[in-house]
Amino acid sequence: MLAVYKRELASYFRSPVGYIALALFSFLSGFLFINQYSNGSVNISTEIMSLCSFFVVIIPVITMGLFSEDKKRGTEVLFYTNPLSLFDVVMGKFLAAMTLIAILFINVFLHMIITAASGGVVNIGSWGSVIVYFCLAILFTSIGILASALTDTQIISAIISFVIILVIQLLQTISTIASSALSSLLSSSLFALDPEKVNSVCSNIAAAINWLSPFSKTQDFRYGVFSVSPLVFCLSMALVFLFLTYRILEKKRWSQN
Amino acid sequence: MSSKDNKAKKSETKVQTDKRAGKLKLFSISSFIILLVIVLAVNIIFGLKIKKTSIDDYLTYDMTATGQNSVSDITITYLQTLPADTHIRIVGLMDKPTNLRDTPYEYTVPLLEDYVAVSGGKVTVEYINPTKYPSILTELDPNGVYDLANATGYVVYCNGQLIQINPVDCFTYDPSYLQYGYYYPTSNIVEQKFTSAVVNLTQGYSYKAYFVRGLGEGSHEQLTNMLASMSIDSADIQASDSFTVPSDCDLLIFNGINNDITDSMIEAIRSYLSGGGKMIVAVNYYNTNVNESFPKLNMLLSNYNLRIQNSLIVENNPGYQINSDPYNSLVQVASAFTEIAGGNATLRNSYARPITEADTPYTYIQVSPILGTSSSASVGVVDTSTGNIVQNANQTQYNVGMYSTFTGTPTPPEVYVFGTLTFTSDEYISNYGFNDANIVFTRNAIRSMLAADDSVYVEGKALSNYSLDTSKLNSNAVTILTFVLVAIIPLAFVIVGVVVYNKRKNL
Repeated sequence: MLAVYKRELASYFRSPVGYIALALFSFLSGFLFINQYSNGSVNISTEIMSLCSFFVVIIPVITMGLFSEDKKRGTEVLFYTNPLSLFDVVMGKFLAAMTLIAILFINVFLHMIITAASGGVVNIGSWGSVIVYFCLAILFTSIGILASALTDTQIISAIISFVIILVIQLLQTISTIASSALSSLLSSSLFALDPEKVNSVCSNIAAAINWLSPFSKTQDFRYGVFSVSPLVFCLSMALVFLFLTYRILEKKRWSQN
Repeated sequence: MSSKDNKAKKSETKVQTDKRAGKLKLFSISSFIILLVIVLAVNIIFGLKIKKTSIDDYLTYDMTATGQNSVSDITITYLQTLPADTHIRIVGLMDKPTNLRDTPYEYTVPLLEDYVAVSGGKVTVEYINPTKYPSILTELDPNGVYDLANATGYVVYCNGQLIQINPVDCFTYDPSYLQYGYYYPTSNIVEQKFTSAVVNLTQGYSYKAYFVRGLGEGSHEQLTNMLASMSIDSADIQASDSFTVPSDCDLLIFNGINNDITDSMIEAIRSYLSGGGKMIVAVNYYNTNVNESFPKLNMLLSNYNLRIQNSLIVENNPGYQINSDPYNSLVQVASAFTEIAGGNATLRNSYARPITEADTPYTYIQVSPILGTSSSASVGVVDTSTGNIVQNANQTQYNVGMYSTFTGTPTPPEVYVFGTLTFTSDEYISNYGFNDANIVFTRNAIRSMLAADDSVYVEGKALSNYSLDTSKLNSNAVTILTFVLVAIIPLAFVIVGVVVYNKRKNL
């Protein structure tokens, strides 16, 4: 696993990908920070949570080549011929991507230092936001790796992970829209159901969709309220995606297609 | 071996391979499904409510220093003392807010969840949008006495009674900054508001205070909040020629009046006080009232040997001045009132009028100074032609607050008169919060007069101030940081990326 990890991490800095991610993240975080700093009031949580919404762009860039590039070059055969567990390969690549994401976050630590030096506040809510950042990064990176394992084209891989992460980011909005749409449909003359029952059903559907949103689960962290279940949700779901990636790679060993 | 045999062998091998591949496929799919089911089950179990409490509730920790999002021990203890069959419904008349960031709900929603977690089923929180469920309004208020049709925010309901709480009112605000489309919040009084509502619904109000309105005064919302937290209901009463003090009045408050009272009010209030009534009068010397000498109010107060002067206290002792401002200064608490002042020796005072003894000769009137300036203070008046303050050269100690009561009477009146608004005004409470020493003094003074029980009083929780130190912040620093963080660093990474790409593209 260590060998895969080292190779992947080094590959980020042997190609423009790592530098593009760093430049993009530095610009976005710097812009968000300066926007607050110039107003004389800095809440680091706001910056971090805004950066989380840019994962939809950053994560696909970081993960798009992890498996698809190997498939395209034909080097993936090494995974099957080496005495190496495929799960170790998946974890090695995953940890390399996470390391790059942690390196990106150095920008925010720099902003924290500037804030503290300028007499501002870096409170427990800021550290809560840091936890949320890494939890969401773990979840979305696992999705990005899965997308990369599904195709041998980097662009398609990026599009797949972009769409999945975008849908996850919009789950709160989707739940509201779905609830309203379903409510309108069921209340229409076509079904003519009891409005209160319809609203009850629609509210439950909205709650069920919202239950899947990691953003709504983790939003209290930025207020200094830490709970275990959002962390379990993000980490366990990441495990599911990583396991699925492993199974997709493993399929090649026995698939006859 | 014949070709027929070869064919048969090949076919057998293929069947064996198919069987193995099929088993691996089955194993692969089933192992993934099992993992997914386990993961979903674990996550569902975390959120599953057993006796209205989930595992997640037990594994949630409020790490803020001031417990912003946790119900305090005071509230928990009170909820524990309530009978087991108590049911307090907190109903948010809206869809549950999902995006709390930078909204008045950011401290309300998490705190209400904590009420549910600690109450052992006595408190429930629901979000019901009346536009979707109109019947909720009649369910809460069948007789239509609370005017819920226009209600926004939350309703706390218990025993057929309810109290409305607007989330915007759950904060004290710094009036000089705008945020949320309202003012910049300085402290969170969400718990104070909800707990006092719970207390007042479950044990009822103990007293009733009336604010005299119509004399040019400001708002008294924050003082009303404080009274509610002491189980004191409050209402307004209009100043008029037909003024009467309601029979249920336990405390009459003149908070920041700028105009004098009417003739009829003198007798009505005197009559009220003669029956053991309590009164607080707070006026200052500022802009709109510099020409108001309150002759009729002084006529009333002379019955209690008190007088409000029409001049401005100027503190000449730099040790007492706040930020070198002679009109904003510290005042000493008289020794008889240090307990009421919570042990504080000095309190804040701003644009104050001197309060003096009148020349009433009756010895049964007992007057006590409460708050005094240094002995170097003087007074001044505004010269209306120039707008400047003309200061009297004589320096002495002035009283900013005085207290009067009668001796030898079974139900004596009690009167507090403040020559400053730093004990009662919304502006002051918003700026300094409910934990400020001046406000503690006001609370204790009211408690000493009414024997009000504020054992379930929840302090306001100061919010983080994210402002930077302006002495370390200048336009040059901002420009340099902007240049470095938004341009130099990203550009440096782009350049390095281009160099690496060029060097390695042919490898």
